[in-house]
Amino acid sequence: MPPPTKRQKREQYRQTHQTNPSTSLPKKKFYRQRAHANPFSDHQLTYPTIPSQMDWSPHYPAFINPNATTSPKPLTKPITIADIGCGFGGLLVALAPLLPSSLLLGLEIRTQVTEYVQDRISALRAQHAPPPLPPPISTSSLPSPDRSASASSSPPLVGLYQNISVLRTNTMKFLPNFFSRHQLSHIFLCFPDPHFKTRKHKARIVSETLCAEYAYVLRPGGYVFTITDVEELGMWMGERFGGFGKRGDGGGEERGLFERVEVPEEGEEGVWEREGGERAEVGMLVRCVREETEEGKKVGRNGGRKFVGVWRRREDPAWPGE
Amino acid sequence: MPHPYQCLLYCSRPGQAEAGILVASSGPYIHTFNVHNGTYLSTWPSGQETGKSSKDDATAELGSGVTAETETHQEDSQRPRKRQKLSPPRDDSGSSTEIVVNGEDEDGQNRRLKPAISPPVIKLAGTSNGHHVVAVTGEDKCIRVFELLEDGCLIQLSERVMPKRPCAVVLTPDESTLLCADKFGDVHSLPLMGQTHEPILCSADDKQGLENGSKEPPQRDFVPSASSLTVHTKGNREALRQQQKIKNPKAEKKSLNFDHQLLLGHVSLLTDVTCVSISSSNKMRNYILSSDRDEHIRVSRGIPQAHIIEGYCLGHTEFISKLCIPPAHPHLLISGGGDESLFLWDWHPGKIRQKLDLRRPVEDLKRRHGLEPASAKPTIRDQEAAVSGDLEDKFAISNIRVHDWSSSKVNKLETGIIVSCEGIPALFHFRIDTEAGKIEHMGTYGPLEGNVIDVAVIQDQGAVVYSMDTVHEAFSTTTVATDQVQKERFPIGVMKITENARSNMCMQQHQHPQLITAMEQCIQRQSFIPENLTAKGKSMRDLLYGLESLRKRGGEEQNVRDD
Repeated sequence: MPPPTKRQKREQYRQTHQTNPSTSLPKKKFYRQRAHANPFSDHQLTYPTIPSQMDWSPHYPAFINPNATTSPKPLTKPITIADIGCGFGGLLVALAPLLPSSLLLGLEIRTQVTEYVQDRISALRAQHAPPPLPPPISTSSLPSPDRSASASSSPPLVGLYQNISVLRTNTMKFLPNFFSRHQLSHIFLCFPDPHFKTRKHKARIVSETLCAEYAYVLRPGGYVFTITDVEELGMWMGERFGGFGKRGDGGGEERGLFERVEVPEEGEEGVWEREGGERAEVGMLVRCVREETEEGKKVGRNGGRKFVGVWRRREDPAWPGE
Repeated sequence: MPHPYQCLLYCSRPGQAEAGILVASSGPYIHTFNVHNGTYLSTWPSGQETGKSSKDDATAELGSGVTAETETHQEDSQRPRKRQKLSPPRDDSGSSTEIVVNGEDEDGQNRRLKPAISPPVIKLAGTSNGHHVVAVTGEDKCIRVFELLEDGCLIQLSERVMPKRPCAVVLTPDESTLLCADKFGDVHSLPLMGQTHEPILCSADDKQGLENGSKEPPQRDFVPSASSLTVHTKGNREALRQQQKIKNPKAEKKSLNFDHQLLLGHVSLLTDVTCVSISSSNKMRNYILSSDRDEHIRVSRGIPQAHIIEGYCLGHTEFISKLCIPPAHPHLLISGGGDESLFLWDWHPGKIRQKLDLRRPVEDLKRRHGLEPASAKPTIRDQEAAVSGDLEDKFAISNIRVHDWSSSKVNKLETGIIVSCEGIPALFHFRIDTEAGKIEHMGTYGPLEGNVIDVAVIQDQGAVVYSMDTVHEAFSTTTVATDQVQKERFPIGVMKITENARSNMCMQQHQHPQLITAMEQCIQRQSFIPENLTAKGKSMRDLLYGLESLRKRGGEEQNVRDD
């Protein structure tokens, strides 16, 4: 009998992992998938017709109002943070304990990668199930004050990692199916597919026309975080967000809809975090996108550079002539 | 074999009901008719009206039916120029229809290789004063603007080739700007009276390219955006090494040679776009509504703030094909598509008012025609078909037109809606009940002789003109009718909007025989139809029944799609 192929091993592993959910974290090698997915093809996606029809109960069981009479049962608070193209979920896992009072959603187009993040979150939830007090966890960077804060601030006790989830979708098409107008406070676009060829630029996750959709789901004052290791793409994303809304038949706005936010130098994030206010928040989030994303770690290992952009959404301009 | 009329447009000049002109395209031709007396007026391209088209016609006769041959003799060793696919290659005629579009070379040799005749018109639009007509040809992505003279002659003013195939063209409320929605998901604006540059399809090293290229920024050397820090796999590193060797590989793609602006875009195929002005606290606000294949209707602000999305109308579960805002009720939107229902929206808040099922009237119609609707006989085969997502029985809404109507007894203006569906030989008539805020089904007119293709409302004469498929059997988009049946068919029908005994709005069939005769004779006379547009071709089917191809096909293996 021949030794099992990689595919067979992968399927076997995933089957056992799914049938008896364990507290052990999933292994990436069993969830490999090629890095690209065509954003223009239909795939086989399920998505709600309108945001209110989305059933979030499998995603955030701890944040579902069990007494709700409507179907599907609504969340007790809206999702406000979206990690678009979350990949293997490093940023979500890092942010979960840092932002315990927010609901975070990772969106990923690749099936296997999404399943990996799902298994990772359920393992982390099992590891940190309350009570008793959570044991020391594998991810070392978690500051302990936040954990106690989350436990004390939200009775009944909600375990760690209950506020993050992932789903498979094509955000370039279906963002408005999941989020309503001005719902989000933060959007993360970390290490997107660079699509080097000019012909492929419409497939980039940041484009002139997609900025309109990000502006639609983002509340005024909300933030967009972008990071890439491709300098040209970093500039491209900067031009798209920075220039968005400035065009128009001569009658366009003088200011764009997105305002650039100053970003700490690499290594300076800690200083910002201690300053408080907006700088602390930006500093903390920039540190996370630089250091906690899976791709960020890889670029760091390979000695690559990281180009970060942060944008704050302005209020919609007044109607022309009003 | 006469080609059916695939597009109809009624152009009337305010206050001159007798001068109303019906613009109708049949294949690549655009014919005009006087609706009042039912006479033929003119045809574009005709040979007399514009110098350019006469040349094309001469070529057409020379070519005797077959479009220009593909192979060019590229004397130089350059790469062949861009090939423009002018028809699906799967034609039954077997003749190759790819055409090499050449730059204007000095010798007349290459000139002959230009397309003998333009591809079929897929959309028509007109200004409300009846002075201008916009025609879109799909395969060459060209938007042509014509002046419509009082005698029905069409004078071409401009010809602009879009970067992607247009799916819908509409005028803004001030009628100075065209909005063009394309297959790539983008909406561009271009001035109606735009400059009429010749489209440049030649590469940058051509003489013309240099002349017009003066405005272009100086060409920079190509630098790959990837670096050794961003690519890691062996194959990608090798590709990067190759790229870094190249100094100046290829000219950047030329920008379009006319004024245009990207307004907004979906990551989907756009199916329709419309503009509307509504007043909000005594100010008029302009909006653009755009619909796509992925069930979205987007509401954006009008120019110059089209980048701001005001909302979405979400509720369709299949592709959307048509948007219609009744001028008398600008806050309402009627939409239709592949989900076999007519949707009535309050589009500004994005709320569904009503979902009106069209399945039942269509099945009633089939029963009247002697066809058993599939749901009436739940055999095993049908169940299987239903499970496997058989598309045989589905239909899509292809036209939504509104008309005004006032009863002779009660002096109150009402709005009627005329709907047609792909592959269905009928018109469905509705009215908007303004008090209840609902749509009411008033009647189904059919089965007609052939499937309805396009509908135009002749408002000032209270009539509706519809074109029918003369080629395929009624209720079928694939089965070709017998020659005998085809001969007896009329390509056009006219109904009169009137009232019944209970003074409700209704329609009367079999009106205006003069116009029908004129329009039938016109396509019988039509001298030349490119081979690939004759009845059997798949391209004819695609032209008349393009909507069903928008439907998503389920059940495909996910991993196959991903790879």
